[in-house]
Amino acid sequence: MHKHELDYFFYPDGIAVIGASNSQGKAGYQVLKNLITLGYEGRVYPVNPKEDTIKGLSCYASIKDISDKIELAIITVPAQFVNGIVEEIVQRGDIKAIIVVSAGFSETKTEEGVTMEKALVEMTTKAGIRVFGPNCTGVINTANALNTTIEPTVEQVKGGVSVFSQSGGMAGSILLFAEIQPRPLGFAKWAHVGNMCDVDALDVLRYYGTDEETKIVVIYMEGFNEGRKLMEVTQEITSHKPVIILKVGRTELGSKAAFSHTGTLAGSDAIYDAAFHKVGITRVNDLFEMIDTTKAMSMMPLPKGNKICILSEAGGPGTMAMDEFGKYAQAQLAHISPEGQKELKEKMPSMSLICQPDGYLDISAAAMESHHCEALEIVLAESDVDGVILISVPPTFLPPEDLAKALIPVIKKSSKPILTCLLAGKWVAQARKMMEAEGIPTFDTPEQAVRALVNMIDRGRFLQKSAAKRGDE
Amino acid sequence: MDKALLEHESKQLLRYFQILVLAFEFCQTEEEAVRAASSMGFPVVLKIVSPKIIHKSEAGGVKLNIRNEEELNRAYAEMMASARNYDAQPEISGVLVSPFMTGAKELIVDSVEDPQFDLVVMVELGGIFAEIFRDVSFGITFLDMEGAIEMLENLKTYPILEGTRGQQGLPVGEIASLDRQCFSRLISEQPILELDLNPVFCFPDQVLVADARVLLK
Repeated sequence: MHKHELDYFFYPDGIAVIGASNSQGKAGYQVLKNLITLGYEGRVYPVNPKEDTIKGLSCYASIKDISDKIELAIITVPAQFVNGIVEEIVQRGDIKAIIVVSAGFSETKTEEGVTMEKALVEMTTKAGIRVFGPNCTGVINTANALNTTIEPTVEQVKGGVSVFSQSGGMAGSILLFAEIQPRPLGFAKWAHVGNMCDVDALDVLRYYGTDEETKIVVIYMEGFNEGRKLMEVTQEITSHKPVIILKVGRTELGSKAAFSHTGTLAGSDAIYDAAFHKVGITRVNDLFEMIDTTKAMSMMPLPKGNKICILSEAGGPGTMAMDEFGKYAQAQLAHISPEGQKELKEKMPSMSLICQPDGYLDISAAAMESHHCEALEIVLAESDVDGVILISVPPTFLPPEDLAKALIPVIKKSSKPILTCLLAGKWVAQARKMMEAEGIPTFDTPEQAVRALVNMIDRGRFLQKSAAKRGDE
Repeated sequence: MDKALLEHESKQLLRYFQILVLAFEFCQTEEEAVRAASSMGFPVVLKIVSPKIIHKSEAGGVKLNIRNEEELNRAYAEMMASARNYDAQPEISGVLVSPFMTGAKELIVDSVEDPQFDLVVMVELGGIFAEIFRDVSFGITFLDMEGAIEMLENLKTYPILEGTRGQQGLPVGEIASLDRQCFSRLISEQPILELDLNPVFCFPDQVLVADARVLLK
């Protein structure tokens, strides 16, 4: 198999951990631990002249002593020793990828740090070796359970979401957030490239774009110095995969923090907005919206249009959904036909408010699971309805699990997206878990469900527009 | 070093690019201004032309709705006096005489050099509310006609351009074409660093650049 340059990071044949250690406070311990305790089955070689064995693996004094093939080297030693090790790596000739975990390079903004990093890249470029970092945590790949990071370990659920982050903290937090969903949101690949002395955001993006395991690209970004290139690269991806970006620097204060953190100018936020819109990037505002949108897009089909029915079992949460929905001019309430309205009035509890206004249903707290299902089936059959927001606050006489059990088959056979919000907390935790296990996304609040659906509407529109454009040519 | 073209030079350049500009006559004396105004027909607008005066209104360098020769003489004298007030050596190159037009919707079409996206064309709502509403839309990458129209559609005030509440709409296509022209000029005409067309008068039947500033590299 021909390997892509970045495949050596995600699918290495032989890994050396230089600076591997038995002392738990060191990165070299954590990296090795994550590598060998999370199910990775490839060959791993700890390197440290001061240790005999680590975690049951015999330790090598130098990488020169390893006679087996190594493709990826992970360096965790202090900065001043890194370049010496890189020299040895270059001499070996078999290593194609290096992850430099060590900090103390250009990010310190000192002359010494900058010079060392420059020397490092010079050596590796000449040798045709690609580098992640310095000052990074590397990669995770759920396909082979590879984890080179020191991030808190999360349950590695396989899925189609691939994560890229300019911040290690955010990269880890995205996974932690994904993990606490009723059913942990599965992911494919994950990358943190730190100082980006060699492999940069664009390289990773391009890689995710062509990676077959990756169905959705999720990015945390503080700023990017080559805006136009970012647009060119993303444009190639958004035509077949969603690219969801949490871009900070919305305010002046945020921009200042971003500059001091990653040294990139946050740039005019309005220009980013315009650029993202142009190339079909889904821009989200916070971690919640990022996870919600990713979850919705990975589990549900896109709506064919922008007409939505909001179906609630309770007036308050329904009103909150409507209030949020009203903020987005690109989304509209669907029209329910007179026949549909008649049927709903006949079948729903007498206190129900049907289509007041049109497209909004409050089927009242008297609604049992059968009412929920019938109402959902009726509106899904309406030609004007492109998607449904379904909200319920199951009362004591309607066990949430019963509701979930009844809803699952109805939702599963629909070709239209249904974003469900069961309120709230522990009361519905089991029900939500049941639904998500069946691939049905659930959301904490009505507003979160609405925002995710609006992002789906935008994405659907972008795809239709680009398809029409291609048709013109 | 950056070189700012004077208003009439900027407008000549735009004309050369086949961008429609509001009629103007560059005059170096008061007599020339009177002659220009008479042949153009009153009412006219008088504007100062000086490399040192960029914000003309602040320096008393714009006189609107001049209805006859007498008013023109008075406006001319006042303008020269306030220019000297503004700057002891105002380096006045002359004045610009243009027809005075009312009833236009004003837009601003300009460009910025963004640190991340390079050249970006902006279209904004102009006029007295511009500062308050800050209704701006950006055009990035190669701007085709479709992109230019989308750029206008992204303005909050787009319904005004389209025509709302019985008001006649504006030639959106022509505005978009102006945006597109500016963008392609910025990209292709290497010496141009920045364009600032402010205001652009939009009438139901035509779009005219009323003031322009071009910065060369």
